[in-house]
Amino acid sequence: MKKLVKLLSLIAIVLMMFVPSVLLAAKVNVIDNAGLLSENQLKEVEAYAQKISKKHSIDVIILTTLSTEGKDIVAYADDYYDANGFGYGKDRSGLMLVIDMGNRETYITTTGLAIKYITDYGADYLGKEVRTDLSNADYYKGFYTFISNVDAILTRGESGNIFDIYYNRLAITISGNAGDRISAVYSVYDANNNYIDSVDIIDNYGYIDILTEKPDPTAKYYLKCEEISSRYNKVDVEVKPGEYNITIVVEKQPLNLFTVAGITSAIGAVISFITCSILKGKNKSVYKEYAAHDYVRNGSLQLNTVRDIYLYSHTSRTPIPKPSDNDHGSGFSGGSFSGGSSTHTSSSGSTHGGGGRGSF
Amino acid sequence: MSSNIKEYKCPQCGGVLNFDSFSQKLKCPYCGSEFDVDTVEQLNEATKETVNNDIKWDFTNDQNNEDNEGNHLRQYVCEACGGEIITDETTAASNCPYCDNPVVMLDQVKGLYKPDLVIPFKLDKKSAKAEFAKHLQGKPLVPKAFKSDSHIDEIKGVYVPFWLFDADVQAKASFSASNSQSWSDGDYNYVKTDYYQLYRDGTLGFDDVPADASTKVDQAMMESIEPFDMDQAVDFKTAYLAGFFADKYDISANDGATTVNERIRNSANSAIAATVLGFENVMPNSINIQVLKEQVKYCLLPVWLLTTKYSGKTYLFAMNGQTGKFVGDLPTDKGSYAKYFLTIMIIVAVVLFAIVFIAEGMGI
Repeated sequence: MKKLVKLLSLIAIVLMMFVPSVLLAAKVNVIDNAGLLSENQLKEVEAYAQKISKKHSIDVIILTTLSTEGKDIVAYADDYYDANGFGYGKDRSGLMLVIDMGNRETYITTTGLAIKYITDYGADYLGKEVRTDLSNADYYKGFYTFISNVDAILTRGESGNIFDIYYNRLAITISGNAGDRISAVYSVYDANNNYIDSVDIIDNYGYIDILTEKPDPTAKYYLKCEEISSRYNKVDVEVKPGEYNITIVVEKQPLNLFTVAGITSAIGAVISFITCSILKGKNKSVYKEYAAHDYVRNGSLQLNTVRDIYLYSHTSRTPIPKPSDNDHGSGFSGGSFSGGSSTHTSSSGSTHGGGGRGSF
Repeated sequence: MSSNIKEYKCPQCGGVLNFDSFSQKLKCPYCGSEFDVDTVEQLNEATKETVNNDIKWDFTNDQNNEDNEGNHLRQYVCEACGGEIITDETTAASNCPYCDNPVVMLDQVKGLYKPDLVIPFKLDKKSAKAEFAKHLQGKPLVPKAFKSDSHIDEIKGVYVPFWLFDADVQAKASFSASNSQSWSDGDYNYVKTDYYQLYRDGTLGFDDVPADASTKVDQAMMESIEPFDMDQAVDFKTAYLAGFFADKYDISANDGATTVNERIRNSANSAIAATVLGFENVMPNSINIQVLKEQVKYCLLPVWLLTTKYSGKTYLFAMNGQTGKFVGDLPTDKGSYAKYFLTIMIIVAVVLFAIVFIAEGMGI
């Protein structure tokens, strides 16, 4: 009898252990370990996520947790995705939003096709949107909006118009007299004469990235010179479509006689004033005495107490500024670029993209 | 009036003797004989005749007649010519305005007014004139007319009364100090600062700090011809005054001490601060200087005073009668100043102008 009870309980335990994996096998897209949604809400979101996943053949997963088990959220997300067999096809296409309620942080990891469609810019956008709702504790709305945003971005990507940031980089070279290091400030205007931004030219070189909503190789720009090294003339330039490397030739003006004469006279006046003040000082020789150094008895100084007491030390530290390679300088070429997706490799060796990391 | 004045007569010819700064002896301008100061003093004591040393000035009488102008004047009779010599109340040696014989007013150097020490004149009138000429050299902004026209209006050798103070002071001070060292490790620059509190307590002595004891001479001017070498000071003898002017003090030793103590404090201050060594940054927290003991001596010091007049203004000069240090402010000629100013300015401007264009031409 006792044996039977033991056997039955063993079977029950084994069965109970299998239940979650059976559920997993049924594929759950929304894993609410932090318990943010009610049962009904969870069902609705789950159904919506499954629908969008199927539509694009890209898994849309949402995971909430109270802890990342001591891992960084990026590693935690990648490992969780790899370990639970998410994703469509050979390259396991899919994306997963991780919401860590412990650190109140979000991150989106992408795999396979999702890397292509969810760019760094796209992931940032998704993260920002969802965090707004999370900080208002609108969890259901946040999840729902997230899935609908993913749907929109994937749809747009599949039609060839990937959701991304695009920019035209104008690389500007100023050419003056050989050996002169010319600095200038240019204002950049678009074809409709709307001011976009200003660009600093230092040591003859500078560049500006002009953001556009979609790739725009036909954009025209106008560069207006605001300031330039002294004696160089201000030259404005119209930038033709497709022209990204711009060389502006400027001319040095001859010296202005009056300016030079004025400056040298001013320096002369200062030097002359100092000299004449010294000469005038020679006419004075009567001064009041304020001390009696001459009358100190030789060797009469006797020190009875000499105490140097150490009090404390203070160490301060300042970072050494590193020459960033993004500095102005030659070697930049202009062009039309998009932001794209950056990738990294997870501990299991698979490649992930992602972003949208941030606190709420 | 009284005959409480002294003329040192030549034992040879009866002429009146003068103190000669070159030989440091009394010299007869008539027969050229020279006599030791001590010899003449002794001779004088032995042949004391009509000189009446007992007359005391009736100071109470003076005070009763304060409104009387004459109460600040003294009247003497010249032994040589019988002329009446009128001086102010502080004059201790002068010349008879009639016969130019040197006279010494004995009352002014007696008793309370007897100086402890005197430094006899080492430099004569000729050196004073030469130093004056030198003083005008190398000063291009002094008006030309001042240099060429100016004749010395008045030149006189004066024994100026001084108080000399010996003092011992105690200086107690505390300072905040710090030393820093810096290094870097590639990412950061580090600065380590060690902070200290320092205490110093010491004593310091001063000898013969002089304070002008006469209102007749300018105090700043007297401080400007310092220092005097007190090693050459000798015990006071009236004979040293012969042929010179002299005054007695009219600033009290207490007032003199005020000035001197200020100077002593400042010097003690820097002396104690100078004992702090080996720190990059030192800030005094408190310095306390106390004069422990002070001794005062009364002394006559030799000064040549010169005056010149230029365009209605009197210019005053002084020379240390011992060391020859010559001081006195000189006027500045506005025309010369303008000329110098413009010349220097134009030269500098032209040179710079040329440099700029040469550099431009060479493509620099």
